[in-house]
Amino acid sequence: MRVLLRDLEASAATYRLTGLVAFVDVASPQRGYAVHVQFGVVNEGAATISVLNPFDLVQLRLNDREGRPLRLAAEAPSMLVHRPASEPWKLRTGLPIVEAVLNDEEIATSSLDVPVVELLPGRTSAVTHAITEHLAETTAVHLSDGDYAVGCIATLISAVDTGASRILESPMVPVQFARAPAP
Amino acid sequence: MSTGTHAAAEERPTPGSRAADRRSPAGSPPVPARVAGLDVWLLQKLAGNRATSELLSAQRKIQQGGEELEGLEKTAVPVAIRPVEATRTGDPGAIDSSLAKPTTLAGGAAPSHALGATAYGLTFPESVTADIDANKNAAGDWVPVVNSLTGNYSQQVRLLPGQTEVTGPGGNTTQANSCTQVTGLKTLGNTAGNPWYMLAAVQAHENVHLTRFKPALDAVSDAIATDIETTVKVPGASAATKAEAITKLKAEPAFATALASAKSTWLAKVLTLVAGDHAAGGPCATAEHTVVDPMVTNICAAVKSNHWPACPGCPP
Repeated sequence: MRVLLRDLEASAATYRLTGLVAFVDVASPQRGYAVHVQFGVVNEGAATISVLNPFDLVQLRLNDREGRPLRLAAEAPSMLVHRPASEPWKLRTGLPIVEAVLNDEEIATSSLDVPVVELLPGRTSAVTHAITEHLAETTAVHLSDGDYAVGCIATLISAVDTGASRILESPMVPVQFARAPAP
Repeated sequence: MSTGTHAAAEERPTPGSRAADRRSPAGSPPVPARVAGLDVWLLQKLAGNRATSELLSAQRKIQQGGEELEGLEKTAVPVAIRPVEATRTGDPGAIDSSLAKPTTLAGGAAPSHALGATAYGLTFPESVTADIDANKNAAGDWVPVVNSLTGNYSQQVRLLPGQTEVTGPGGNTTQANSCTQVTGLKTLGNTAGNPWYMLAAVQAHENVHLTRFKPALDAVSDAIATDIETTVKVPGASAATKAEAITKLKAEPAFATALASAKSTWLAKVLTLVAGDHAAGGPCATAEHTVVDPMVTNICAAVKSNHWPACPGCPP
């Protein structure tokens, strides 16, 4: 099921980003070693839009069947981490990426190790994460069979004018998961 | 199939969905024809809960019949979507900060992210806690009323492994290392393998980010409060007193979900506000220079007064 994210807040300079539509795509039921969740952005505008890497800024969420939030492995967005400028920029995600698409073309995950992404008009860029486990205190717990709900909050920030931003949120999407051996 | 989350999706917002969604029926984002698939959420907004319920029911039938998700496409209900004209003032459903709830920041939260080998520092929004009261709504259920919100953050600062604090002339500055120290300081610790820097500069950098945290929480506090107040409730008969009701409300899964969402929303807002902090010559660099520049001046003065070989980073 693919759902669109809705603006939770838009800055005054959002006009730079209005061509962008973000989505979450989650199949249900899923059987496998992980729940796969795709987050993507479509540039529906007529011009290329440069944004700070949106896959660095997205926050995935997972709820259990009672609606309780389950903590997922996550990395702090690079924007908040003070590293030497001499260090190459790298996309760090707590959840593994199993598929990456940039402007409709499947790419190696390492191709997203860039602080700025150019979103071409009419094209889709997306990453698919595999959620195999959640964190309980300090230990990781494999997802068990059952019903979950997945969603995300995304932050889109113009690379041309960082004052232009959008915060978008998806509804929680139900997903039924049955564990099967890893491929 | 369990009825857990799916039943919830039919009858009320899916667990974790935001009250903010409901506050602005006119605030739908532009929706492209290119985005394939079914947008249940928009359907709910535009065609109503009944249509959404029918759709989800159809989805369940497909799943029970063993079909793959693609089958969902067959059930798609045409939805007339009215694009919202883009304006510089943003989404009509945007947060109105004039309704902001009282907020405070609290440092000292346990860091959820350890610093990597090459990280100087990290200031991070860790959680949001809510001080609530409880009232009964028209249906007789206990519902929370948010009095205030607290944003709990962690802050980590350090020098990188292998680096040493510059203490200057009279400290650890010598003829042999003076120029290396000047270079390390003037480049704000950004040169690869730089062995010298100052912790106070790292702290100043992180404090710039921290100045964004309160405005960020203020900006989203109303949305957070609304989410808590509209998604959490317990039956009126389940608590005899307000105090008891507050305890029960805080124990609800929906309360935990709302607070988890609150943290995510706060973090998202923080990101938008810190986005320009690292610009060349921007706030973080300026803050670090306020610390390192006086030290550079001192070292360069020592170089000159001691007749040490001139440093490229020092004025002639």
